[in-house]
Amino acid sequence: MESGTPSSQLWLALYLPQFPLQSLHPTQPDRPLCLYEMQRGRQLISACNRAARQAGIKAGMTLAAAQPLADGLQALARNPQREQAALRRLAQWAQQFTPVVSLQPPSGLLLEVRASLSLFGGIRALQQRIDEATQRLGYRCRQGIAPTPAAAWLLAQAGIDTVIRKRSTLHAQIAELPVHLLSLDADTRQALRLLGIETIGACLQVPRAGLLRRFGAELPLQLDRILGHAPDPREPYQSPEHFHSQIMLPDAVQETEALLFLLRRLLQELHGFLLARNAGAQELQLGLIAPQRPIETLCLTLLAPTSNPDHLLSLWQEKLDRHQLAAPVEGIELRVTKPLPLSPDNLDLFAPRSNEQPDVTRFLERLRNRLGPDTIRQLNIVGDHRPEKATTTTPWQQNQKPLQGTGHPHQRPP
Amino acid sequence: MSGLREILAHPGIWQGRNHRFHHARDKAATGLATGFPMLDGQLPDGGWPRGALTEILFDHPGQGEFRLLLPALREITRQQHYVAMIAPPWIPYAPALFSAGIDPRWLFLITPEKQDDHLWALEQALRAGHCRAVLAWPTADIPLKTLRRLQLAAEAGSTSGFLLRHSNTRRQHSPAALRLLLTPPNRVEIIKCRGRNAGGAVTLKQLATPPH
Repeated sequence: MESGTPSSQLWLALYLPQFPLQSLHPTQPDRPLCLYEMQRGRQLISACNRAARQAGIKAGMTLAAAQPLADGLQALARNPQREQAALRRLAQWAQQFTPVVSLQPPSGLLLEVRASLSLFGGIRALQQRIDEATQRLGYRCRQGIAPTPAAAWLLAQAGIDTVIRKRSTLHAQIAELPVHLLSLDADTRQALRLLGIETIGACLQVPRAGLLRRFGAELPLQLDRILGHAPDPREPYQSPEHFHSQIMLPDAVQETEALLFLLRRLLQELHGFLLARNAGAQELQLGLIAPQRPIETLCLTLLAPTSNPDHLLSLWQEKLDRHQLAAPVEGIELRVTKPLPLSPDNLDLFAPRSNEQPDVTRFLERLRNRLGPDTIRQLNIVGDHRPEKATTTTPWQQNQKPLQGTGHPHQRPP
Repeated sequence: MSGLREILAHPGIWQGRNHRFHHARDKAATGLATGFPMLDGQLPDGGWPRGALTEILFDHPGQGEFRLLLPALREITRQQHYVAMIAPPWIPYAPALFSAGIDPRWLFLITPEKQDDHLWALEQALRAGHCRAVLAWPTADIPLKTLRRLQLAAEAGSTSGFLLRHSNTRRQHSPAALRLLLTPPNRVEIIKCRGRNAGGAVTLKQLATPPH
């Protein structure tokens, strides 16, 4: 029974049912919006938001039929590349919870969380944390937890909240699930329906030889992977060294408020990226993308690396409030080329200074951000007999040690 | 009786001489020792008010207005707290500060280019509460509304704000908790003092410019 993948694995599947739509980050939730894709020469609607649903638009309609139903319906073609990129960004963000994150295209992630449980205080605490963090990114998610990735994914899609820790209980839990949750082609689905096989449990009762003969190797393999009888290797996502994330808007905006809304999400992504590395950002670049214009870049340089999204947002807000948008912006991108390790001083429990230092740094950063990099200065004494040369001022530096201090907090007394 | 006490505890009720009573909850109740016992004796908090503005008015710069603050600044930096100076009209002479016992590393100079930003930076520094004392040299024409804002910011951050201003503003109304007028050579007159009658004056011989 217990063969293939080691039973100590525990997978958390993160399924984002509205991913294609929510990854657009629509700024006007009240405006009807739908996504369509081309199928056999027809534009079929594949997803729509609540405003569109209230107008009577459903998935599966043709675009031509939907258009008259809602005034000002915004219809966008689905863009698989954009969704892929959004999913990769999400994987990068999810690495704050576990280093093993793999993509489950088109709209999900698989996280191997066994090793993270003690850090986050158990599976329920971790789930709640993931849930809240996903909401901050603007997504709704469903989670499924099982010892195999395929079973976790199945549970997430079915919306089953039970935590399954052992393979022995897996069979009973998934037997009731409808067979259409498996990823099968249309012919196989049709054939299963004709045979009267509606649940996975029924499917498992059919003799294997028969299944193999009728449907080929694919269906039995999927079933084996769900139960953990066949290996199911998942490639962990390797995130790049630098952070670069871009959000394109469905429509161009002129107000900085809408930009801040998007920026908040980008900063949440950045937060996850930095947390996964125990790093902080010190130099950030924000690109404002306007149609037919070069990208306008704003820079933010901090006194000390930080990963705090609220602090970064307040600094950007200050900057954007004073920035005149030259043209309507249709997208923003955030770049951090050098994530720096967060200094252990920030986490030191006993040094009284280190409690205060980050705060004062934040305060000075707020000033510096508005007033300019060289406006916060400190006095230095120079050993010079000419009084006018005995004082210099230099830009304030964070890592200066107080005169009375003993230097490094980890320094041992002699 | 307890009902009355509750009503009196409301921060909106100002109680004159008993001013310390309604401030009793926050630590701003005791002042920051000025280092001049005679002056401390004249001040209701026994020192520079905390969480409030203090105005020091003088005719000419260098009349002792900075020397008046030196002992308090020495105490603040000795306790490893920050002092911010917003747009000082001159660069403080670091060796002199050092010999007065002030560690210059605990001083920030904030030098915004634009006039508007001076007040913004001042308000931020007062409100943030990271600096124990904030010194500023504002121009004569700050509107009363702005001063009131600054006073509220100082209360919010429990910061002592020192405004060093020209004496021609003494007739202007001001929300500052304490206003002092320096008259050469070494007289300090209290022209406004929250919680005590104004009009007291002290002569501090330490303020006089030392002979060259």
